[in-house]
Order: sequence, then structure tokens, then C-alpha cells
Amino acid sequence: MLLGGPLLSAQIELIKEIGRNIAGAGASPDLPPLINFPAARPVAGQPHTSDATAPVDDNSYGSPANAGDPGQSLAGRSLLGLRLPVAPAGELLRAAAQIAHAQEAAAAAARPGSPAQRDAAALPRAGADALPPAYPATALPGAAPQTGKANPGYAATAGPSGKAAVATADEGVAAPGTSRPKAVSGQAATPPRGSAPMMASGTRGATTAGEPPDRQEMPASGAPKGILAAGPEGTPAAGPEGTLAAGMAEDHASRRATVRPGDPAQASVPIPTSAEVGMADGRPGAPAAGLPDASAAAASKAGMERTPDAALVERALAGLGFAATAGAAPPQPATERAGVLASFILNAHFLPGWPPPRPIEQPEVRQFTATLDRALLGPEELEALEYLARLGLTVEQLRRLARLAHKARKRSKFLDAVAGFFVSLGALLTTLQEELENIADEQVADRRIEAEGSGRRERIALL
Amino acid sequence: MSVTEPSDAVAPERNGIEVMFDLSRADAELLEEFCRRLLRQAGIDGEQFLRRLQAGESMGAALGLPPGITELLYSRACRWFGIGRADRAEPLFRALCIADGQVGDYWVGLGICLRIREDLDGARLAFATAARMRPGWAVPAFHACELAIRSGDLGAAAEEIARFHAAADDTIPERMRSEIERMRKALDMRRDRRA
Repeated sequence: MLLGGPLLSAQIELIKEIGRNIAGAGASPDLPPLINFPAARPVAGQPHTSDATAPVDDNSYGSPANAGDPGQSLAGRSLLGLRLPVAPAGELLRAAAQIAHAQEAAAAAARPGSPAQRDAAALPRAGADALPPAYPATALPGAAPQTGKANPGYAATAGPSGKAAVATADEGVAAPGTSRPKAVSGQAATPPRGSAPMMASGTRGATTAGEPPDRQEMPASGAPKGILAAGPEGTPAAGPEGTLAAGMAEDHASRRATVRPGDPAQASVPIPTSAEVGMADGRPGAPAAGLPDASAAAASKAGMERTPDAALVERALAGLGFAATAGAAPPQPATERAGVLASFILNAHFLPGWPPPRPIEQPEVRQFTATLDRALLGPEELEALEYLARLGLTVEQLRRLARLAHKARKRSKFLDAVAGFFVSLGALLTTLQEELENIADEQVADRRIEAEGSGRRERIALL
Repeated sequence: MSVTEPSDAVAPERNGIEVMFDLSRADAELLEEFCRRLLRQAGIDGEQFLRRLQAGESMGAALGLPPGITELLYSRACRWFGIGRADRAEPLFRALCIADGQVGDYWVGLGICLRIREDLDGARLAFATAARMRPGWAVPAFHACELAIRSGDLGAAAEEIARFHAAADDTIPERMRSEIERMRKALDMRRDRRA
């Protein structure tokens, strides 16, 4: 294509003006070379960014393509023009360090056998006097709220079949309608109001016993995986000593505290009763049923007289799903009692019909899912709607959801909002958590480098 | 950080969540209920969080993030970007946009990271959002102009150049002015060639 003289000269002038940039490789034939910027070249190695909070003395961030190159185009490649980070470095790093240290401290406190846990277990509490001292206090039914001294808001009890403290703060039901009870260990039945800030674990940290972690994710976006702070009244708290760090610590602590189902080593741990757990068979306060009264049979077989500990045995067996019978529990020596419990726990997994039948879901939820038009709904929409319907909505809310589900435009908009909300929340919390961990790691690396550096200098001096 | 009372930033007719997702009152209440129950499953009491969102506060403020945390993220994002790691800077800018979507700098940072990743649609949306959040700021127009030329939308590029010149003030670095002039010349050449 022939160009006119003025245009050609202007082009030459431009070429001279932009220097190396105009010779960028990979130029598209459709675009003038001026805007064909070279591709970003990778930077080898992991940069150390522990000084990321240091005040920036200029605003020439450069670009990933070519930092500081005056011939490099800035448009779409540089942060030039953005405001400078103005936060003082020391304050930010101190805050991050506080959070990281609080996380470590909270995790250590939540670890079984830690001094904080022992202190918490040693605290006098109502009902503890009636319990035999041979049982670990933190594993006893009703001990969960006291563990909140070291790890507020979380219970560490879980039954051998994954039946744990599933009662939520206000309704005592976790994910009703699910085929299996959502036994969320690490979640207190009722966190004491006005106590220390209740820390939240993310979905990743809330271990649902007996269910793989990926099943706990919400379909649209994933529920928040990170941390969220909750204040004294369950409100999002703030500050380094608030809930951010403790929430992350709880994330790990709740996983550690989960009792492994069927672990013989935990056979001596009494199992929470239906009333205590609040949802032994998937319903709040529902009586255990469905299996023969094996406790009475075991008691009569043992032929021992009834002692105060018999109540504990009854409660443990009732927690396993066996109906408790008044006055039938036998007295047994401690060792035999532990053996009977262990055998029940182990054999329970081989019993036909175990675990006992639980209510599947609300009739309204079944009705809702039955009315969904599977021909019109996409698989993701269907899965999301069914998941949302099983969150324990009221009848009126289910009707509202059904009305939404039958209107394509409103359904799409609503599901977009749900997905966007939780994707955003999850992304924010995950990024926060990762960055705080990175900062903590960098500080550790800094200390290590300093230590190694001084040692090296000493060796060099010796040579 | 002390817990602040929800502000009256949003008119009582529509709360913050309704505005945020453009939902009706009933649908927003249903969304809140899902949020409440899902957070409760994760061991989180979301009542205060939802109340703050209803009051029109940003997500970061509703979460009660400690002061300085967003600035820390911004600082690290700029540093990562400055050493050539836009891939590390992008999630930080994204988190900042979520935490406080009213800050245009966050959106421009995210848009540039997306532009480097060749996510042109995402970058365009980010620059447009930045321009909406901070009207009269020339920086989004600067980057949007390059994006428009890159996409072959010469009309949009000319509009962005005009918008840049209209908004450019003393705070705009000289390098940006010269760069936009180069883009204008390139645009003229392109038009002349087509003509």
C-alpha cells in the first residue's frame, strides 16, 4: 500500500519518537506498530516482598513488561497515575504480625493438652462434679462451652458416628433436610453471649464429620473459605486481636479437635446424649430410636449392680442411638464398663441398619424439588436451587424460592446475586488469609536470613 | 477497630443489599437468609455483617476489617506489580475492589492486571467502573484508550482521548500526556489509512 508523503514522514517521525517500542515483536498486521506492545516477560524467581509496605518514594511503578524503561508504553501496562500507598510500614507490619502471632497462639491454645486447654478443663463448672475423673473433661458432654475459654465458640465433641454438636446457635439444626445430619464439629451448640469474641472458621475449617470437605462447598461459589470475624455477639469483630486471626486459628483447631469416628482410642469417651447434642438422629431433641435396647441387655448380661456411673453409660449408649431404659443400666467396674463401651462403638459400625434412620428432609423441600422443571433448568441451576432449598428455609421462604424458580429471568438474576455475593466474599477472605500467611512466612524468612547471614560472616572471618 | 453504627448512606426505601444486586425487597431478604444460614454453617454469625451491608457499607467495612489492612493489600499489590508479578497483584486488586468498590485506583489496578493477562473484556469493565467511581479522573480514560485501539474500536478510542484531555489536570504525569498524544497520532494514522 502506497502512502502519501506527509503521512510517511509522520510515520517515520513517530518511529523515531517511540524508539524500541515500535520494533516490538509479534506485531499484529491489523494494528499500527505503535500499540503492539511487547508481551510481558516473566520474572525469574520469587521476589521478596517483605518490604512491600515500605513507603514508595516515587510513582514510577513501571510495568511487568519493562519496569522503568522510558521507551516502554505505559497504557495498560503501568500503575502510573494511581495514588501511592501511604500507610506507614511499621504500623502495618506490626498489625500483620499481631494477627499472625494471635493466630499461632490461638492454635496452640486449641491444641489438645495445651496449657490453655488444661486450664480450661480445670475450671469448675456446674455438673462436672458428678462426672468421674477418669474421663477427660474436655471430651465430656457439656464440656464444650467451657472449652470456649481457650477457644471460644467451638465444641470439640463429636460422636463416633459423626454425630457431633450440630446444634446451631439459635435453632439447633444444621442443614436440616440433608440425608445425613450436618455434624459440624468445632461449632458450639450455643456460644455464650457476651463471652470472648466467637471466632469463625471458614467453610474449609468447619469440618463436617462423615462428609467430604468438598460436599460442604456451596455450589454456586463456594462458601467463604477464609476467615470472618465475629464480635462478642456474633458480630464481625475487628482489630488484630479480634477475630481475624482467631478465626484462622480456629480453622485448624476445629479440624484437630474432630473426634475420629470409631477410633478405639476414644472408646472411653462418653458420647453426648440426644438431648445434649440436640440432634442425635437428625432432629432436634428427637429421642433415639430404631434399634433394640441393647444397653439393657448388656447391663443384665454383665450382672452388676447399678452405680452412679450407670447414668453415664446410659447416656453414652443413648448417644449411639440405643434407647435408654430407666433403671436398667447395670453397675460395672470401670475397666469392664470401658470394654463394653468400646465393643459397642466398634460393633455399631457392623450392625445392620446403622446408622439409625434419620429424617431425610422436610416434606416441603421434597415438594419443592418435585415441582422444579428439570427440563428447563440447567444442571447448575437445578443443583443450586436444591441446595438452597435444603438450607432449612421456612415454608414461606420455600414458596418464595419456588416462585423465583419458575421465572427464568428472576431466577437467573437471583442465582447470579447469590453466586456473586459468595464468590466475592470468598475471594476477599481467601486473599486476606493468604496474604497474612505470606507476611508471616516472609517475617520468618527474614529472621532466618539474618541468622544465616551472621553465621556466614563468622565463618568467613574464621577463614 | 471499634464497631461503628450503620450509616444512613442508603435511602430507607432500598437497603444496601437490594441496591448492590438490584433485587426486590423479598428477593433480597431471601438472599440474606441464605447468607445467614450458610455463614452459620461455617460457624459465623452474619447478623451484624448483614446489617452493615443493608446500611450500604462496603463489604470490607461490613466485615470489620482492621484499619490498615486494605492499605496493606494495596501496598503489596503495587509492589508485586512493580517487580513484574501482575499475576500476584491481580488477586490483591480484586480483593480490594470487593472490600471497597468505591475506590477508582483499585479498579484501575485490577484493569491493568487483566489487560496484561489479555482479558480485554474484564479490563474494559474495570476501567469503566473506575471512571464511574471517580468521575473526572483521566487515568481510566488513558488505559481505556489503549484498550480500545487494541480492540480496533477506533471510535471508542477517540472518545477516551477526548475524555482524557477533558479530565487531565496537574496531577497527570507528563509521560501519560505524551503517551496519549502518541496514541492520538496512531489513531489518526489508522483513520487516514482507512480513508
